[in-house]
This record gives sequence, C-alpha cells and structure tokens, in this order.
Amino acid sequence: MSFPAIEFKNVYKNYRKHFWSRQVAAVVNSSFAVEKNTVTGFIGPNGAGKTTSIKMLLGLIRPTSGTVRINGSDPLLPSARKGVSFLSERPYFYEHLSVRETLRFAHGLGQGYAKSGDADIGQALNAVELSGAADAKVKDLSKGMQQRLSMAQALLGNSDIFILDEPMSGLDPLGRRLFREILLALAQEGKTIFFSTHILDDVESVCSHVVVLSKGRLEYQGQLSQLLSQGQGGTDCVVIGLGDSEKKTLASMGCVVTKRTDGKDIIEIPAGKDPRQCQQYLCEKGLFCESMVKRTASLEEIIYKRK
Amino acid sequence: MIGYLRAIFEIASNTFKETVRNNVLYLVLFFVIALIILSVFVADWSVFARIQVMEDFGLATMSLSGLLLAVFIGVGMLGREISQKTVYHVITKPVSRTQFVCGKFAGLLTTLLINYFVMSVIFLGTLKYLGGAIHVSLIYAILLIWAEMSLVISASIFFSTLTTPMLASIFSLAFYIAGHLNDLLSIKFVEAKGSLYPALLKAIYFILPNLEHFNVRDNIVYGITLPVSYYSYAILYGILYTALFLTLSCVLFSKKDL
Amino acid sequence: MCAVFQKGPLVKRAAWHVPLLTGLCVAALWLTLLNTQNRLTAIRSKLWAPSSMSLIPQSEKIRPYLLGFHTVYADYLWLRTTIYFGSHFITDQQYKWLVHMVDLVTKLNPNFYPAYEFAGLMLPDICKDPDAARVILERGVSSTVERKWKLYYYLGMIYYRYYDDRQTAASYIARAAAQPNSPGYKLAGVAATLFKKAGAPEEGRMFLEALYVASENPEVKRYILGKLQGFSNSR
Repeated sequence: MSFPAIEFKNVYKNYRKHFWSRQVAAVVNSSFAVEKNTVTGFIGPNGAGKTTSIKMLLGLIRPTSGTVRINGSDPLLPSARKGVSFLSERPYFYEHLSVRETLRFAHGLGQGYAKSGDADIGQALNAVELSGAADAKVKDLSKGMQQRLSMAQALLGNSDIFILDEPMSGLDPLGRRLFREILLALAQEGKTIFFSTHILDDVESVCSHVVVLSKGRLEYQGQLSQLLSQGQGGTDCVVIGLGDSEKKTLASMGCVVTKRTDGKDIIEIPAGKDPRQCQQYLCEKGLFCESMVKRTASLEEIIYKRK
Repeated sequence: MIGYLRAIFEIASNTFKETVRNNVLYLVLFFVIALIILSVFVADWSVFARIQVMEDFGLATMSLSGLLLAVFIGVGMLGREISQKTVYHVITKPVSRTQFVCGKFAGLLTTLLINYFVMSVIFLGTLKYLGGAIHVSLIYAILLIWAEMSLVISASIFFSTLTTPMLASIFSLAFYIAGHLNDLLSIKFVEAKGSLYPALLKAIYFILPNLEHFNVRDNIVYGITLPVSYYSYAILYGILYTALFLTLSCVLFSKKDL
Repeated sequence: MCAVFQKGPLVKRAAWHVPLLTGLCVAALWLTLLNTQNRLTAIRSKLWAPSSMSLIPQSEKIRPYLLGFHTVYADYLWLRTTIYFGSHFITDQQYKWLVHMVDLVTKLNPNFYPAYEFAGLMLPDICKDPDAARVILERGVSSTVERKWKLYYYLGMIYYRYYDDRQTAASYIARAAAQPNSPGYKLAGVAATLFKKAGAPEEGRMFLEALYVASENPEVKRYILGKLQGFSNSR
C-alpha cells in the first residue's frame, strides 16, 4: 500500500508559553501531504508554524489534535524515524565532542556503530567540504561550519526522507551553492526532501513542490510551477518609433504603452491577451518589435500578493 | 533487543565523555580528597580515637559528595540538554525517550562510580597509612554510599524532567535533607494525635525514601556489626528506588513537548 | 499570531496497555520497596547504635578555629547534647559523655542559660556527679547569664543535698534572694531557715532584718516579721 512520505491531517497545535498565559494556536487545521521522491519547499513568514509543524513531524512535540504521519507511521514511535534525516534550524551539538566524534555518535544512534561507519563519515565530510576540520571541537567551529556539520550528519545513514529546517541559514554564497547541489543530487537519487526556508530563490531553484503556511493555516500546497503560473502577468514588447495614432489603437486593444528612459516604447500586453494580435498590428504598420518578454511575478511577489 | 541496548550504550558513552570533560567533577573530587586529608587534623581534636573519627568523617564526606555531584552534574545533565536543545540531536534519530533517559543515567552513573572508586581508594589508603584496619564493614559502608548516590542521582534526573535546572537543584537538595530526616517521622507519627495528621506523616514516611538506611557510620564507629542481610536489603532498596525514579522520569520525559 | 484556541477532533490515543503496564510496574516496585524498608527498619532497631561523637571536640581549644562562630557551634553542640541525653535515656541510661558536652557548651558560650539549668537539675542526679555540676554553675555565676538567681539556688541545693553543708547552702540561697528578678522574700525565708539549721541563727536573723529594712512592700514586711518572730521564739 502506497502512502505519502509526509502527511498532515486536520492538525491543530495549541500551546501555552507560561502557566498563567492563554493558549496560543500555532497550527490551525493544517492538512497537506508530501509525496515520495519530491523536493518540497515549506515556506511562510515568521511565526507561520513551520518549525512547530516540523517538530510534530519528528515527534518532538505532540499535536493537540489531528494526525501526523511520516512514512505512514506515527512520528512518536522511534521506528518511524528510521530512514529519516533531520537538519535543525540551529546546530545543536555537544560542544565537548569533535566533528568526527559527533558524526560517529550520530551514526551509532542511526544504525549502530560499525567500522564501515568511518568510511561513511569520511564521505559525508567530503560532501560538505569539512574534511579538514574533522578533529576540531564543535565549539571551535563557526556557524557556517556547524551548519555543514549538520548537513553531514543528515547525509549519514542513507536516509530516504530529509527534513531540513532552514538549511541555508548562516551559510556564505559558496556554502549555499554547495547545499543546493547536494539537494539536487539527493533529488536525483529519488530521495524525498522537505525543507523550510525564507530564501525563496532556493525554493525556485531546487523545489518541485511547495507548501505555504501563514498564521498557522495552510495557504497553498501543490506544484511550484502551478503557483508560479499564477504570477504570469502578460507580455512586454519593446518598440521604436510608435506614433500617437498607433498608441491610441493599442490602447483600444487593451494594451498600455509607456516610454522607457532610452526613448523606446514598451507595450504592456495584459495577461490573457494573445500577443500575436499586437504583433500582427505592428507588422501591418511596419514597426519592428525589438524584444518580447513574458512578464512573471517572483515567488515572493506571488506569496505576498496572496495575503 | 541488542539494537535497543546499543543505542543506550551509545548515549551512555557520550554522556561519559561529557561528564569526564566537565571541570565540576574534578573540583568535587579535589574537595573530597582535601576533606579526607583534613579529617586527619579534625580527628586530633575529637573526643573519639583518631581512626574512628577518620572513618566517620571520611564516610560522611563521601556521602555529601554524592549530593554535590547530583546537584551540579545530575540536574544539569537533562535540564541543560532540554534548554540547549542538544536533545534534538538524539531524539530525532530512531531512539526512544526511554533509551535517552536510561543512557544518560547509565553514563552519569559510570562516571560517578569511577569517581567514587578513586575517592574510596584514597580514603582507605589514608586510613591504612594512619594505622587503621580496613575491615569488611567499611567496604559495605562504601557500597551503601554508592547505592545512596545512585538513588540521589536518579531523583535529581527525575526533578530535572519536571522543572527548570535551578528548581530541580533546590528540590534535589531538599530531597536529600528530607530523606535523612525521614527517620524522625517514624517517631512523630507514633506520638501524633488525631487521625489525619499521623496518616499524613505516615504517607510522607512511606513515599520519601529513608536515606538513613544507607548511613551505617554510627555502627562502624561503635563497632556494632550489622548482618550481611541488612546490606543486601539496603542495596536492593537503593536499586529499587533508583528504578522507580528512572521509570517516573521516562514517563514524564516521554510526555514532554521539547 | 492570533491567540485563538481552536478545537479539533481528538488525537488518537496511545495504546491502553502501555500506561497500564507502566502503572503495574510502578505499583510492584512500590510494594517491594515498602517490604524492603520494613525489613531494614526491623534489623536496625535491634542493632541500634548511638549517634557518633566524632564531631564533639576534646576541649574548648577548638574555639579559635571556629572563626567567631563559637556560639553557633555551642548551639549545635547543645542540640547534640539533648539528642544524646534523650537517646540514652530511653535505652541504656548510660551518659558517658554528657558532663563533657554540657561543660563544653558552657565554655564555648558562657551565657548559654539552658546548659546551666540542665547541669544544676540533671547532672547531680542522673550522672551522679555533683562536683561537675558545681564547677559548671560556679562558672555561670561569674558570667553575665540571665536568671542568675536560679544558678545560685541550684548551687545552694547541691551543697545542701550532696555535701550536707547547710551554711554554704544558706549563703548561696541568700545570694539568690538578692539577685534581680528572684522570688525575693520567699527565698530569703529558706535561707534564714537553713542558717538556723546550720547552727548560725544570728546570721539568719541579721539577713532577715536587712531584708525587712530594704523592702517597701507591706506584704513582704509582714512575711519577714513573721519569720523574725520565729527566730525570737526559738531563742
């Protein structure tokens, strides 16, 4: 029987910060599913409930009501976390251990330490370009290096599901590029990746699916391309030498003509209108269309527009 | 089963490394050794013979060090893991919370037993050097102190699952004091009048462990031998209470939102 | 984030047998513990040992090492004394270290009244050591302890009961009567009677006459007059 890699069904999570404080709803009636072998971005503004949802997914907290499943199992059961790797928002490692000791410990917990573990550890360190710091103490590593260590321990154990909470935070541009490459490589291997992030460029470049949360509620779940297509805003056409009568005709066709600073005119053909109609008119008038570009909104613009 | 125990072993090894690299352990050890050596001078002031005083003082110091280790290391162990979120590193693996608590306890206990072994060797060595005999009841007394320490550590872990490290330290201290004063309750509820008050005292007497059962210093100092069965029962008492506190800790920790 | 409590369907409960098994384990542990505790208490009560005297110093020479906390240490020592006395009272009634402990308390804190009272009332009887009691009380009367009249009175009683020295007893009780906050004229009557029995009635009479002149209370004067008449009648 096939089931999604990750499933939330009517999940609510309420909590109190202090004994005397009122209950706060962190997640409200959240229902979504993440299919296997997909790369899903989990996005939303601060306080949307992303980290809370991820914690429920890993059995760190219990939902107030509803069902959370990972690989078809209840995440509160330790067996459900077999084959699942987690990278936390901030690296929470034992400072008294070295990099190698940390990975040995993680490897031992995942599947029991064996001699082959050292080879896996070496591979993981190479993948994140941290081999040179294998014997350094965790407390001596910078934030970026600790983040790489987090990724290295997530790569151990050949997991099928990767749950990453803001994996790119604290990384320099080279580090982010490295992580993107790692994620793409994992995706090619057929792994399921579910990661939350604020950097929407990373979502656009890596993800096939996206789940959008806002104020604890689900805003959108589905394919990224479908979401992006909502932001398609028509076509821009750059023309030289438009006369007043042509401008009037184009305006009657529903197009908006604006002047660019270099003297050229931009014809903004609205969404839904076939640009060939405009192109045909310009040809009849003997005018040359220098460029024709589809006008699309970025993911950030789409998401903010939805509010 | 092997896999289950292997995870506990991994956590215990990690905890052992963490505790051994903790300066507090060495400070307490140094403090205890200093007190054992100081007891030589205290012995000269006392009405009792020097060796008797050293035995009493040395055993009392070792018992007290268990409390210090429980408060400074035991409480912080779990509380710090939760507040600094290093527990995420472990709990997000296929490891149950019970395994985590048991592993933590096993690692801490191993470190402290080694620590106590060093203290005991120094104590017995000093005693021997000053002309005292190392009789078997001394060894039994040390074993009882180890059992008491294990109980206090498990209680401190229990308190740290309940509340913040600061409050858990206070509770551990209060638990130690109350445990040693528990003997007085048995007198009180016999003398007390009414039905509710003696019943309440009796309930407290039976809920709190009686840590005085681990205190055989008076018997050693006066040369009153206790039967071997007493020591067996006392060690069993310590093991059972430790198991009880650990069970409660596992239950509480498994319900906790991290 | 809005603070709205949202109700939803109940989360699936954990299997019922897990908490039941845990509860049974805890209950079994508890019962075994109670049984073990009772056995331990039974064994210990048969082989009771008195509390250790290791922290009781040999002498007051420890005082400089107490860094100014000698009165606190005296308080601790007094607690140990009372516990020592109580535990031996209900068992073997052997008080080997009692005199030493009371003596040490008064040396470390010369103004500690309860120790003197204990010495005066209990040491001559239970420890059969009136000499020790006398030494301790004499130390007390030379200090600034409160209720000094009682110390004089106890000294008087020791001399009367144990040394059969009525004259010295009478002089101590006379001194007790002269102390502030003492029962005054009643003690004076006792002193006078003791003087008479000691074969020194003149001393008794002179003592009463001085008290009569000094007193302004008519009740007291009437009482002393009655006593003086007793002296005159017996001449």
